[in-house]
Amino acid sequence: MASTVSARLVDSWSAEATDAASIDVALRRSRARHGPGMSRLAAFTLVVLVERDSRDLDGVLAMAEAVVARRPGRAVVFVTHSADGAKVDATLKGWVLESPGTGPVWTDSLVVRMPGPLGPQIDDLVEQLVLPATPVVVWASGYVPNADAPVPAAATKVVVDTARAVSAASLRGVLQMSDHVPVVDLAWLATEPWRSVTAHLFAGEEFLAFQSGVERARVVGDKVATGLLPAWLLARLGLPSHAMEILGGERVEIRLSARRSADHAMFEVVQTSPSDVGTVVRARAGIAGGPSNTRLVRIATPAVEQLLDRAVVGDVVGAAWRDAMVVAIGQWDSMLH
Amino acid sequence: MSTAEIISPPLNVLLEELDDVRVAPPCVLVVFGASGDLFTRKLLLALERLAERGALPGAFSVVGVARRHFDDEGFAGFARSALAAHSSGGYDSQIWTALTSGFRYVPGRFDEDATFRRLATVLDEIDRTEGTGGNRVFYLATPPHEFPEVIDGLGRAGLNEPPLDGEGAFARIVIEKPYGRDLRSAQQLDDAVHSVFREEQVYRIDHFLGKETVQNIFALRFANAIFEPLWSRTAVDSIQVTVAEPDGVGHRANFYDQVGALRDIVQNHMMQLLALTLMEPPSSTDPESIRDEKVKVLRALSVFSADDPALHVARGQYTEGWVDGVRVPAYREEPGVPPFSNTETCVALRLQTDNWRWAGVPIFVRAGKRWPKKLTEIAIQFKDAPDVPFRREQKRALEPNTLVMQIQPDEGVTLLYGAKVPGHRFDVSSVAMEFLYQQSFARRTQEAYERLLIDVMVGDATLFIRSDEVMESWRIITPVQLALSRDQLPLSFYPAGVWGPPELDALIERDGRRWRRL
Repeated sequence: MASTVSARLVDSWSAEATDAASIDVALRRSRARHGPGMSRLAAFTLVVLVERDSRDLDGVLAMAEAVVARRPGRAVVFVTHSADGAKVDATLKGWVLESPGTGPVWTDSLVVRMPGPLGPQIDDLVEQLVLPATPVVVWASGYVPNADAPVPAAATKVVVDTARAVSAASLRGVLQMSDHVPVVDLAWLATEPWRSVTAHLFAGEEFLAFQSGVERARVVGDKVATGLLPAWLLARLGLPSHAMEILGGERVEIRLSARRSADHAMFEVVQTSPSDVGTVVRARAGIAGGPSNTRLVRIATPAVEQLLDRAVVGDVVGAAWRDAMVVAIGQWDSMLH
Repeated sequence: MSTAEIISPPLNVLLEELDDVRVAPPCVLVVFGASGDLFTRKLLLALERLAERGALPGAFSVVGVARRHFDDEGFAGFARSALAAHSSGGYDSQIWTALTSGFRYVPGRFDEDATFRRLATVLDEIDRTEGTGGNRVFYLATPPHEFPEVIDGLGRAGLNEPPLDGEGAFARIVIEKPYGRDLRSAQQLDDAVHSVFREEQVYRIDHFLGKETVQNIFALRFANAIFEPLWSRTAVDSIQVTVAEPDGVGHRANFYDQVGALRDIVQNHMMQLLALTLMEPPSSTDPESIRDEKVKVLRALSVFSADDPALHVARGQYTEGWVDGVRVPAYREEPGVPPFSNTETCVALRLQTDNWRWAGVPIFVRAGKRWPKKLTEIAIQFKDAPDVPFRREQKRALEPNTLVMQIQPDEGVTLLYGAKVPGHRFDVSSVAMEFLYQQSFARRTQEAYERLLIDVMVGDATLFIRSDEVMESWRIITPVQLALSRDQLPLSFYPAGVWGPPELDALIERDGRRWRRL
C-alpha cells in the first residue's frame, strides 16, 4: 500500500507564561473548531526531549511533525529555556491528514518551552499532554542519554541514537538504560539493511557451512556503518577483535573471508554507487573452485525522520543489539569514530 | 532416536533478530507458460519487487519453459520489455537487468520428454555454477488444460524430487486457479498431481490469500478477546460478502466466458474468505492446523436448497452502460466474447452453515463485474438489541451493528454502532469507528504474489489451498452448477455501472434483509 497521506496545517496557537491545562484546552478547542466529522485515529504520542540551547530546534520539530504527518498522533517537543522566571511557553499546530478514499484525520504538534531542569517536571507535563491510552514514544534528540537521564514514567519506549556517542561511557549509559526501559536505537535501525544483506550471503547449506569458518572481516564506511556494524559481526561470528579491520570511506564495504577444511570462500557486500535516496550494493558469495552468485540490492538510506517513524512502530532492541553494544564498548578505542 | 543422533542443521547466526528472518533459500523458479499473461503481468512484477528489496536469495534463477522460441538472452529481453510494459509504479532497471541476465529459457512442447530432459540439464548446470542446491519451484502458469501434461513430464524426467539429499532440499509445484472446472475434473486433476507429487509438495495458489487484509481476518478474530464471544449465531444476524469490480472482462474474455463469476470468484476467493471468517480457532498457527479448521467449516457450508435453486441463486450479465464517466460496451460486445453468451458476470448466493456456531445464520455472497466501484468486504451484521427504548422516528438513522472487514481498496476494519445525535432531541444514528491500515502502519504492504512466492520458497503452505479444501469448495457450488446445466437459473441483465440486476436484491429481500449500501 503506497503511502499517499498528505498533511494540511489548519490551525496554530501560541502562548507565553501558560500551563499544561491551558495548552490542553487550546488543543481541544482547536480540534473542535476545525475537526467536526474528523476521526482521531491516534496511534501514539511522540515526546521529544531537546537539550537546552539546541541550535536545531526547528529541524527537530520538522522531523517530529513529519512523523505525525505520516500517522495520526501527537508530537510534543519539550525544550528547556534559560529565560528568567518560572513560565511555560507553548506553540501548537493542528493538522489534517488526508488520503484518497478516506475521511480527514486530526493530528497535532506542540512545542513546550519550559524553565529549569527537565527532570523534576517532566512527568507532570507529559502526563497532562499525552494522548490517552496510546503508546508514548520518547525521543532523546541530539544527545545520548545516560542511565540517569530523565525519562517520563509514561514512556513505553525510548528512542536513542548511539551514532552520536562520544565515548564508551555514553554507550555504556544507554546499555544500562536499556535494562529498565525499552530502547530503540536509530543507529541500529540504520544498519539493518546492511546486516540483512550480509546475513543473506550465507543462505543455503553450501554457503552457510562457511559461516563458522569466517577468519577475517573488513568493514569500510562512514560513522554509522563502522559503528555497530563491525561490533555486530564480531559478536555474532565470535571473532577476536584482531580479525576485524575497520576503515573510513565514503562507500560501504563488508568483506568476510572464510575457510572450511581446504576450501576457501569470500562473502562481500560492496556499495556501488552513492545516492540521496538509496544506494545499490553488490552482494557476492563465492566458493573458490565452486559455485558463486552475485545480486544487486537497493539499500535505502533513510532520513532521520524515516528512522524515527520506524522506531515508533518497530521492535525495541534485543540480545543481538546488546551483544554488539558490549563489543562496541570493549573495542571503543580500536573502532573508528 | 537418541539425543546424540539428532543433528540439527547449522543456524545462520547473522539472521538473529533481523526483521526478515524468512530468507528464501537458494532455488530455481521454473515457470511453465513463461510467455503468457500471468508471468508477464504478475510474476515478473513480484520478482522485481522482491529483488529490489533484497528478498530473493543470492543463488537464484528463473527458467522459463514455453513453446515460443527464445534463447536465454532473448527471454531476458522479453522479461525486461514485459515489465516495462506492465509496471505502473516504475522500477530499478539496474537491479532488474542484473536479475534477468541470469534468466534461462527452455523452448519446447510440454508433451515431449526432450523438453524436460533439456530442462533437467539446465537445472543441473545452474546448481553447479550458482549454488542453488538442487532446490526447485515449478510454477504452472499455463492454461489449465496443460497442467496434466506438465506434471506428467516432470514425473517422467524425475524432476519431482530434488536431485540432492541435502537437509531441506525440495521440489515444489505451484498450481494456479482454476483447479478444475467442477468437482469431478478437480478430482481428476488431483489424481494426476498426486501420481507425481506428494501433497506436501503441492502449493495451490489463490492470490487473495496473499493479501495482508485477508490474513488480518485471522488476526482480528483470534488476537482479540472482544470479538470471539459475539462471533456466532447468538449475536450474528447474517453475513454478507461482496467482491465488486468496475472492470469488464478485458483481455480475459476467452477464459472468463468459460467460467463466469461463479467459478472465477465464488468457488475460490469467496470460499476462502468465508472459511477464514467462519472457522473455529486452530490449535496452533502451523499450516495444517489452520487448514484443518478451514476444511471443517467448508464441509458444513452449503447452498440452501437444491429444490428451487432460483430462490437461492441469482445471476446477471452486464449490458452497455456508464462506468466512471465512460460509456462501456455490453459483455456480449466485448472482444472475444460470443455474441449470444449466457455466461454470468455477476452472481449472488444464499448459503448456510450447518454447525453449532453458525446454524440459522444466512450468508449472502455477491460478486460482479462492471459494478460501480472496486471493493471487497466481509460484513458481519449483528442482531438488533433485544429492546431499543427509542421511538421509530428517533432511530430512523440507526443501522444494525455491523463489523466490516474491508479487504480492498481501503484496507481496514469498520464497526458501525449507534450514537446520540447532539441536540435537544434524543435521536440516535449510526456512526463508524474505523481502523485503516494506511493510517496506522506506514509500512508498504506486500503485493499478494510477492508474499506467496516467498512462502513457496521457504515452504510455508499456510496461505495455499490443500486438496480437501479445493474439493469442498467445488462440492459447495455443485448444486448451482447442476441447476445451471438444467437451465434452472435464468440470466438477468443489468446496465454496466449498477450493483447487478433487481434479482440480486430480490434474493436477499426475500429473507427480510437487504444488501449493504456500499
